[in-house]
Amino acid sequence: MKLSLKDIEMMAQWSKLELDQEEKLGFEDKLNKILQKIDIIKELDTNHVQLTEDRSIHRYILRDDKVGPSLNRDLVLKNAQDTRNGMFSVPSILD
Amino acid sequence: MELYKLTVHEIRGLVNKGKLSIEKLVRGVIQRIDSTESLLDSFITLNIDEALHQARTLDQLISQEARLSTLAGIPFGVQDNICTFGIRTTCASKMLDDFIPPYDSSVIEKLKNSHSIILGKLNMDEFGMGSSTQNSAFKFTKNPWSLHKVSGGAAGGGAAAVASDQVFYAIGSDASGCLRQPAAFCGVVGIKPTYGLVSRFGLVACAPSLEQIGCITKDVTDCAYVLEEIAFYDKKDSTSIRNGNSTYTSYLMDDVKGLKIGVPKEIFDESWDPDVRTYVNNSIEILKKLGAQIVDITLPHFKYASASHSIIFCCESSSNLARYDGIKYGMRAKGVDNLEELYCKTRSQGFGQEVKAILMLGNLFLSNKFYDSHYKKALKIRELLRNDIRKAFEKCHIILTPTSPILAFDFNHESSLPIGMSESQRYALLANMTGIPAISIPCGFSQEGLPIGLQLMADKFNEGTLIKAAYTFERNTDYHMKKPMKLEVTE
Amino acid sequence: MKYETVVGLEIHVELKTQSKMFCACSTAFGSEPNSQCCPICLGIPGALPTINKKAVELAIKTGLALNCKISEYNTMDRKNYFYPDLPKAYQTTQQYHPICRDGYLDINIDGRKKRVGITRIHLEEDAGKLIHDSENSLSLIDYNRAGVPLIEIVTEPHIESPEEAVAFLEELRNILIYLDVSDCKMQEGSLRCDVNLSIRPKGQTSLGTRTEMKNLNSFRAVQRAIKNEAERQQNILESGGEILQETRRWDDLKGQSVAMREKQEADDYRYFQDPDLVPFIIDNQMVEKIKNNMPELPAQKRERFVSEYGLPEYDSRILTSSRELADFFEASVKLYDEMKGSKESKTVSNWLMGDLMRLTKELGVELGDLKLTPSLLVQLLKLIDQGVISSPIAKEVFDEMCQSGQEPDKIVEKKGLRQISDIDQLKEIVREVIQENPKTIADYKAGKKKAFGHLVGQTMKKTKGKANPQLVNKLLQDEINIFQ
Ligand SMILES: [Zn+2]
Repeated sequence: MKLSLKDIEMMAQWSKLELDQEEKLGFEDKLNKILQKIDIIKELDTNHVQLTEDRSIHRYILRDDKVGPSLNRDLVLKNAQDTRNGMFSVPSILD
Repeated sequence: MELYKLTVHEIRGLVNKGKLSIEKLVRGVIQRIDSTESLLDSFITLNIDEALHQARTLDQLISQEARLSTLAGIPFGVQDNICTFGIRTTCASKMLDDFIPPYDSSVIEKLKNSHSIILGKLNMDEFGMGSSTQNSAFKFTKNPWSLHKVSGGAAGGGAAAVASDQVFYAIGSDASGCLRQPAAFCGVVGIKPTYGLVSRFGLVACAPSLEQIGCITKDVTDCAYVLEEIAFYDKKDSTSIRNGNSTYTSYLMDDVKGLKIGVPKEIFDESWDPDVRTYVNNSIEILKKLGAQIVDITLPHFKYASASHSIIFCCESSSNLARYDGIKYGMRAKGVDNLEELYCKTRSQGFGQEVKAILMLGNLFLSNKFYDSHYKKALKIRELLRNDIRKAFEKCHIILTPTSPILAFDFNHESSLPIGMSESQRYALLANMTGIPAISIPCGFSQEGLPIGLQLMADKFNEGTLIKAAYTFERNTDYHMKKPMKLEVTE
Repeated sequence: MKYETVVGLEIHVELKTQSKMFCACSTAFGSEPNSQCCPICLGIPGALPTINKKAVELAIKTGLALNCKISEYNTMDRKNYFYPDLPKAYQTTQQYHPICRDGYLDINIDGRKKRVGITRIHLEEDAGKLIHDSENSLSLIDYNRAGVPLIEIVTEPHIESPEEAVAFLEELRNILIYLDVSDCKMQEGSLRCDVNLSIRPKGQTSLGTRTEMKNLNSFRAVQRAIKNEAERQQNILESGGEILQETRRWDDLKGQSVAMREKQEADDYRYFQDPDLVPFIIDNQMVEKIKNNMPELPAQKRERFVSEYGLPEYDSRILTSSRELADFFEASVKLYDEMKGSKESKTVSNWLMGDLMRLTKELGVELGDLKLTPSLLVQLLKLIDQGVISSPIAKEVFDEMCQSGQEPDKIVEKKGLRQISDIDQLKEIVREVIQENPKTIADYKAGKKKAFGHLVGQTMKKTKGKANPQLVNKLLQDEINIFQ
């Protein structure tokens, strides 16, 4: 399996990254090298392996349905770069 | 007296006897930071004023004979991917350059309650992706033993700071050996506890299933002290585990008689630095002489560990880092016309190349076409590794390997392969894949004077056994006493 | 060629919990924007989720009511995609191990029973709310809804007509309200429905290409959208075209749908198990506990109303159509029976099915909006039984009582509606009527029995309906005979 430029573009789209041509070529080369290294797992047959979690050790206790304090609204919005009327703002989703 | 050279347990003794004021102690390390930081670059953000303020408050408390916890008044550093309320937390990424957490991580909350004093936030590889801090968006942290060498990574800032006496201990995270490998490179003690022993709430993880908070200390005794403080059940973290046994200081015993130490036959190969080979073999001999029994063990699936670790790491990262979209916090690209541009430009400008590579790979491995052949297969290999480990611990109490088969390397030396594919973390990441605890302790120095780390791993929740074995080794060697020479000269 | 329609539904139901799915923020509706948010539901770096137990219990409850198998081993999974209303850029949901599966719901279509399969029910979280600011070409985000617990109920493609879809949804909503799982208010978005639809030539077993219809804000919209989409697909096929697998948006004003987007390779949600949440186990004990506390479901209640109260099936169906009404009926019957010492279920049923339904329809309100209580209704029935008021007057009192909440005897006193049973007083009025209507009397004597009714009516009119009807009858007979 070798990644093509088209694959790189798809991966960039999933990752929401904007790559110029040079970067695409760079990643094509670099990521293919990594994939080659990872290909070592292909020699191992894992069809017989069951994916079961160790249920005895880790018994997760669910949280009771009780309302606790929320964050102060100023703190909610403090780290955002663009807010309006107490809300987060983005370019229109309709465009 | 050079107060900064002390260890946590030495300070504890002095404070208890009323021989040491906390303010003096804090001023001592601040001075030390002033004189060394320009050489090392271990910190991203300093918290000096607040630290001094806390020190004065504590001195008052002590004069009123208040009962304080072991770590009260001890200045420490926090890796910059652990949230600290009101203190900038960047993950060494441009993306979070001005991010100020509106909450404290559970581990920091605990240490604040213990009156330990945050001195600052430590440098790392961006979001913990790397093995040398060269992926930090801000600075490279130099190795105190040789300023031309990397300090290791991701927790390079923490290891360098502890090794150079800038802080008495550091809290960091370990997803692939990335806390233990820097500890080994810088000649200090680093522990990654059992998965679930320390709450991850507030840790900005890239790979939650692999990552665990641990600590870097000057010696094994300090390691036990700090671990005892940070290990607790936290209902805010669903992976946190209730574990009654957490009095690790009671395991500080010079005794390995009858302890079975397993050495996996698969680890020996051509990749080892000759000095690492010499000193690891020497360590085995030392432990043998002290009464430990060395047994051969086998980890049949070890050769697939790196590749499967990489896959899991990339996949979880791709999802965990998707939230950086310029909307709620962090960087936001300027001059965008529409939503798609807001996403793509923000993320392209905010993330470094290494992070981008990992995100793209992760999304590939999780896609319909690759899910079974890569992600699911990696999970199955993890299952096989867990099985290998389980079988190994039927034969021994401790598994021994070098922490890293190579020494701290030159800047720009190592190929920029993503985390887990790094030679230096091949052995360490086993503990991340299987959730077991592992410690790295100094076990020698190369001919050019670079530290070598010995890794000991135990079965889940057997930190006590680890502490005991590591402590015994330390008591009978003096590698932990050595200090980086160069820094003392510069003062 | 004859085509048949194949419909599967995906229903999102907001669960009635106090706190959110993964954090302790309140789920209350209508608060200030972004006032019910915390590091967890905002996706602030480092914050970790924990699972709300009540949400799990409500999902199990729903699963049991829909005859599902409850999964012992549960995982939460991440559905990865970017959208501004999704703070973490993934929705935490259950892709691989849904909490309930393989169930069914029986519905009634024109007296015929039909079984619709339930493929799965899974837990997930809601997204935030986007508000469009067209003036500045911005979208604004309020994350108060982000993280509110939902279940998604997915049916098998067993539904064949718009009517079946609506019957299914009505029965489902009824059950969810009975279970107290959700408010099921489509207006507030606590019940949402997507329609997956394909058509195929009659007799063909394989399914055609399906479309997914979104933005259906009422059951009526579901009904119209199914009809419209089936026709649209048929037109395409008949003109030799091909159906595209796409998502469409229903525009209820225009009565048609528009394509939103075609399914693409990029629509790959890269699902995987959420590593922040360990798998959770639902043991038998938990399921049994919920089972033992299950309220009676609509279907069971319908059967019981027939067997226990001897009601006709029709009455039973209407009275159980909402939990509120059914509870009201039972409380009233209990009070009434205690008073009379005998079973008078049908009388109560008649009042609820007749006058109550009429009034709520007239006023455009629901039972809960009225001030009627079982106690008030029974007091009214008592007044009738005691002959204090006549039935026509009782209707007037009923209407007033429902709106004011005043006790019926007070209304009767206030308005002077007490029944006239005084023989002398009535005899006088009856005589007046007879004198005023010689022609009617003549008709009656000539054998026109109907004419008698007219005389009764006139008498009632003169007494403003207050005359005791039996007495009027008897007096009229007597007086006419005397005149003879
Ligand atoms: Zn919240």
